[in-house]
Amino acid sequence: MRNSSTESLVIFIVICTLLIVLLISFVTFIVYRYQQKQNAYFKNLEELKIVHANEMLQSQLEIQEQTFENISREIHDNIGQKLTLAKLHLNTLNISDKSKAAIQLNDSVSIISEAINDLSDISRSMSSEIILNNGFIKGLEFEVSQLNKSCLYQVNLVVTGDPVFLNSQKELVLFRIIQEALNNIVKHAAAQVIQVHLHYDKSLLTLQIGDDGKGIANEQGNKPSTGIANMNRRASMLDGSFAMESVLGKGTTIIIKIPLYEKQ
Amino acid sequence: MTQIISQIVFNSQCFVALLSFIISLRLVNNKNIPGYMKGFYWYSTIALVVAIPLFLTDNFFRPYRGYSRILNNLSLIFHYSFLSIFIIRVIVKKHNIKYLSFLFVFFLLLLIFVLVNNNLTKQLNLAFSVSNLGLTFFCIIYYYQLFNNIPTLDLRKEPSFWIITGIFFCMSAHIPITAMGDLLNHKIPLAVYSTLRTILTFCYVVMHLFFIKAYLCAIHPRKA
Repeated sequence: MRNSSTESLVIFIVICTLLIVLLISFVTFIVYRYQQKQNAYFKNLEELKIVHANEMLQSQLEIQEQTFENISREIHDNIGQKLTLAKLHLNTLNISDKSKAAIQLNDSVSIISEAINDLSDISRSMSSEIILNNGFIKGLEFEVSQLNKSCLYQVNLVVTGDPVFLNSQKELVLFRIIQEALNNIVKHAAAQVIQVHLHYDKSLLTLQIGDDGKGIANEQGNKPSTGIANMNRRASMLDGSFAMESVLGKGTTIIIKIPLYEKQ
Repeated sequence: MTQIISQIVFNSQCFVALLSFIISLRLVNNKNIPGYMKGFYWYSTIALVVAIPLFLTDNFFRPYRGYSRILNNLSLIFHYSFLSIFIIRVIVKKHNIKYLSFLFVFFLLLLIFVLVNNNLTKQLNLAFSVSNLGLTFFCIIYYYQLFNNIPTLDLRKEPSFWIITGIFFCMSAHIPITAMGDLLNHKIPLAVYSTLRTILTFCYVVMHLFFIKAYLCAIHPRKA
């Protein structure tokens, strides 16, 4: 009887001790593995943040570079030409023939005025002030009016849904995407009609830019052009998506979807 | 000797259940605790309500043990439902709510079936096995989810982790003994069988201790 009791006590102690040891080991193992996973996760998150910051920086540099390029091209192709013409008029000015000189002077003044206006337009187009002061849609309307003014294109801007104000940084990136798209159309598409459609949904902004130009050949293995890659990267910066549909001879449409609110 | 150990462990269980109940009262109307912990004090309250008659009939009114057994067996439905729903609330995700609900209902129906078809005045090992198996299953799903979700929790201060670990330890230790309880009862010496049952009671003590830890984590998230 005594032996049986002792045996029971031993069984009890041994099993309870084993269970406690198992429990402690289990809890330690779970907590340790979880912390390892947590550390890896936070490290990864930190790396992603650095990569994102680098991408932002790179994008900003590209935007800056592109802005300089646009200014340079505009000055060379447009304002430079006008000023050269004005200089030519002034150089060939014959003071003895007063009536002809007056005409030449008037022409020169109007050419210089045009150059000044163009310079002012470029300045406004390149500056982010228009977006910061008047908002994204006003900036877009100005951009569209500039293209329409050239009489080379018919640009239609349509805004549907209830416009939502994004933060100015986001609006600026979005504005640069549209500028890039319009610039690409002007440079490569040989289009006549350009459609810009902005649709504000409950939580999504859909931007559609289409043209009736020559389209882009979709050859496999072809890397996207720098302009397209830029637009894609900028859309990703806004947590958005970028898609492009193109039919040879019929035109190209790009569709960008941007969440209006940041993810929780 | 076996009787003494059994009595000591059982009394410890009653004491820890009482302590757990007292500490759980601090969760009542406490707005700073996590959402899933709201109402958890009911488990400790009911556990105490079940433990008191068991304690009294074990120590003072032995002829009435049958009634406390009935209460104990019926409380299994509450024990299983309450803890399962708690775990489901912690691990719930839209895509798996259907499967979890199905599992919950399946084990609940099985438990009710076993309870209805057996004598409630006896220790129902099969009913305990069913509820333990169900709860262990939910605990495993919890651990699976824990390692497959974004690891943002501090487990050492996470009440749900301590509660579910307590449940998992207690239930998984119970399964082999309750599942083979009826068989072991006739095959091994009574003293050894009683010792095994005492070990199960000891597991409940540990589970309640884990609940106390969880309550402390919920009440003082920084100190815990």
